[in-house]
This record gives sequence, structure tokens and C-alpha cells, in this order.
Amino acid sequence: MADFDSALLDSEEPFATGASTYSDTYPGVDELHPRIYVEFRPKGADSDPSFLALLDTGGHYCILSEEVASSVRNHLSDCLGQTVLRTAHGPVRGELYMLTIELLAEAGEHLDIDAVVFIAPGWRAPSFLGYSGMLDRLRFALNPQTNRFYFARAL
Amino acid sequence: MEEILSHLGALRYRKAQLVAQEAAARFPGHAGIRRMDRALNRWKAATRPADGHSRTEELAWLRSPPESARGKLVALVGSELVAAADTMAELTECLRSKPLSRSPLVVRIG
Repeated sequence: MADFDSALLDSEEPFATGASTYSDTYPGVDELHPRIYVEFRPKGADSDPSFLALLDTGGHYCILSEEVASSVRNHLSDCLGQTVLRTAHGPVRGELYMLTIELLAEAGEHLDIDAVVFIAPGWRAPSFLGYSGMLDRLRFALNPQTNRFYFARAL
Repeated sequence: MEEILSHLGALRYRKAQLVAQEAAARFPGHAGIRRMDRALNRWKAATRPADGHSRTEELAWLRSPPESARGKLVALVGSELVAAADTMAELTECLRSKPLSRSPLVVRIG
């Protein structure tokens, strides 16, 4: 792990600015296939907690879980607008916001990034870090052998 | 705005970005369009040094949570369960009264 950290974080023009360990299962759930749950912190959340979110390159937007949405509700910027999002669970009505999301690093640097997030009342699933308005703003790599997530802002 | 939101809802993100950019140029005084253009096209990023902490202990705890935690929101610092509640509001209230060495990792146990 340290070798890859060094190669990706410490070179003259590093690929990544931060690295963290991800969980490949969701706590308490028997999943058929490993997934990638990374740690993030929504800026402005009460009591400054961090959460796990499913890194989902096939997901269109970030969707905040009920608890994450609840923790930032008093700190959200003006709503960008309401829309109906097509999801795997069918159409979901909600609101779009811009929210700074902090990807937490164990090595290198934490990364704050402005993301477009979707908040739908009653969304019971975990949070998703989707592609548009979040992952497309990053350069990232995974090492599934060590559950390591490397990231930097896209240039 | 309606056109941009319609593109976003229909998952045509790049089209929404383009329309927001064009609309911001045409209507520079429109606060909503300006906000949308910033969110879609003029986002910012910043870094700050990590504190060297890892979540190894928290993730180890989460691999086999106790049965009593099922369905609960739990807050962990290291391998210590510092609070558990049914809702985020209750959990936040619990956390307010606890001096913690670092910010907790909060997870809803499935």
C-alpha cells in the first residue's frame, strides 16, 4: 500500500493529492458483490460528522441519505431548483443544491469540492457519490487489493 | 431555468451545463441562473493537509456490528461507539454533550 501511496502521491507531478481506505461492504448488509463506500464530510453539518457514501460511476448525481440531508439542512445554499430524477427505484421528486463535500484523506490532503447534490425527502438508501457534478470533477483511482481510494481535483 | 432543470431531471447534464453557460452570458443579472451556472460550470475545489488519522478501527468495528445496533444510526470514534440513535437529530443532540478527540464517523447500520 505504501508503495502505491508513494507512486501516486509523492511523485513530481502526483496523480492524487489524497488517499483513504474504503469499505467494500455496507455495515450490517449482506451484499452479493463488493461495492465502494468512501468517507466524506458535508461542509457545515451539525457536530461535524463524516459519513460513508457509495462511489457510483453509473449514478448520475450525488444523492444524500436522509441523515446527511438532515445534518446539513440548516446550512444549505439556495435551492437550485426542483426536479424529478429518474432512478433505479423509479422517478423521485426532490431538490438540487450545491454543497461542498470534503473527501477525507488518511495520507496527503483532504479535498473540498463543490458538488451538485440531490435531496429527496424520504430517501432511505445510503448516500451516493454520482458522476455528474461530483466524480466528473475528480481524478481518482482504486486499488481493490488494499481498498485504497486515491483522489485529486480534475485539472 | 425551467429548461436547465428539465435537462437535469432527464439526466442530460452536459446539455444543462451548456444552457446554463449560455443563459448566464445572456442574463447576467438573473440570480438563479448565475447560481446554476456556478454550480454546474464554475465550481471550486481546495485542499488542506490531512491530520494523519485513519478510519481503520471504525471500519473494523463496522464489519461486524452488534445485533443491538441493527437499524440504528451509530457514531464511532476509533473502535468506540460514542452514540447511537434512531434519527440524526437525536444523534446530533447526543454528540453535542460529548467531548470527542476527533469528528465521528456516522453510519446507519443495515
